[in-house]
Amino acid sequence: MPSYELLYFDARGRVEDARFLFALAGVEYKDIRFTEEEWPISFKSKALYGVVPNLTVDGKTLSMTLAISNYLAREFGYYGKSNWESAQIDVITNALHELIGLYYTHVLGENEDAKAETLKKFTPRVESYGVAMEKGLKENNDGDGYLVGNSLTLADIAFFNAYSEILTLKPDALDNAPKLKALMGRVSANEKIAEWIKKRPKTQY
Amino acid sequence: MSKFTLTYFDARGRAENARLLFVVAGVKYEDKRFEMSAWGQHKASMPFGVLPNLKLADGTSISMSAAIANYLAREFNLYGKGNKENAQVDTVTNALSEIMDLVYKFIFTKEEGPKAEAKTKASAKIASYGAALEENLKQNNGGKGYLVGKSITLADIAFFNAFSEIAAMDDKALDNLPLLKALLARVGADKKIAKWVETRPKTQF
Repeated sequence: MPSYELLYFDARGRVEDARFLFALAGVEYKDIRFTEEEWPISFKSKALYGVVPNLTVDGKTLSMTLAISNYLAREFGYYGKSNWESAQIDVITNALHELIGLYYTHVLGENEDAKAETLKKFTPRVESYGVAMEKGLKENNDGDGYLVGNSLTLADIAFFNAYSEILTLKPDALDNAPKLKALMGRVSANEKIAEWIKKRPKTQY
Repeated sequence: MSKFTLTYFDARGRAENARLLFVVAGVKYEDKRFEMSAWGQHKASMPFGVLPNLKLADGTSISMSAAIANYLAREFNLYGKGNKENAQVDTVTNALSEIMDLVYKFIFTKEEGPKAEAKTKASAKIASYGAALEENLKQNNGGKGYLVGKSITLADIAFFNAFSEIAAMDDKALDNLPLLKALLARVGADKKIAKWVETRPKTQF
């Protein structure tokens, strides 16, 4: 079994998808977390590309959130059963990556003008992407299963994590998306995910 | 009748990685381009309301430039060999995508002050990610070949496209990154790529 180390802030943030994948696969890993204060002093200069998350597998390090999520999803079998399914997963993870980027820029922003500016970009995009995902879900076995294929994949994990955060900013984000709303519940009801959510460190983000 | 239809604006932009994948693989495709003015009428018919979009022979489509590029790269064996190489390709393409977000912000900002600020932000990211990419390349057979594995992949294509655009903003961007500078020339010298660059529509970006 390879040895895994995940490096990130003490937060769910952009790495929670990776943590969910480890939980689902039942694979042990070192969940290394540091504080905002420790980051520039002890970790930034050693981080690959100067950013986190980083995933180190048997001593070899990867950077970039989506690269890490995709690697683990492929490793553990959560990346679809064909190139086309993998592509549909990429569509969703990339769309959500954009949304969550805007979300964090807004909630962590220090300047009121910049925050308002970001919200102006975020709101129409979360609406149009929500419509597209609801449509995509409905077209997949009438939407009562998962976003891609016939079982839980990285797409569902990413959707669940992204919308868990997004709903705190925009509580009505899924009001016109009943199938997506039900999917949220289905993902959190997964035994291993429910267990992780119960025992993970409680952090603001 | 082409198996693939790639739809985008009449620009290199976020579709050029896909175009170069077709070129390197020697696979024909329909290179459909919209005028900006025509986009409004077509926007609603595109999943997620965005371009580029890749339509397959069976009528299904893939949106999001990264999803499209990964799909084609996998189809054409330009995505590395094995999960670790796939992940290295992803790390490079994600890093470059972040850089290009900032470069496009610079290109599309008209007001002088904000434009200068955008250039500073882009240059800083190019410097820090550039150093990591240079190190990446060095670690791979001394950096005389390609970014990942032993032959050209999507990583090199994305790098070529990104730094070709960056040169217009800052022609000294690769001055302190000699291995990357040589790689840019090496990729550009590929017969198929050179022919495409010579014959493709000449657009502003």
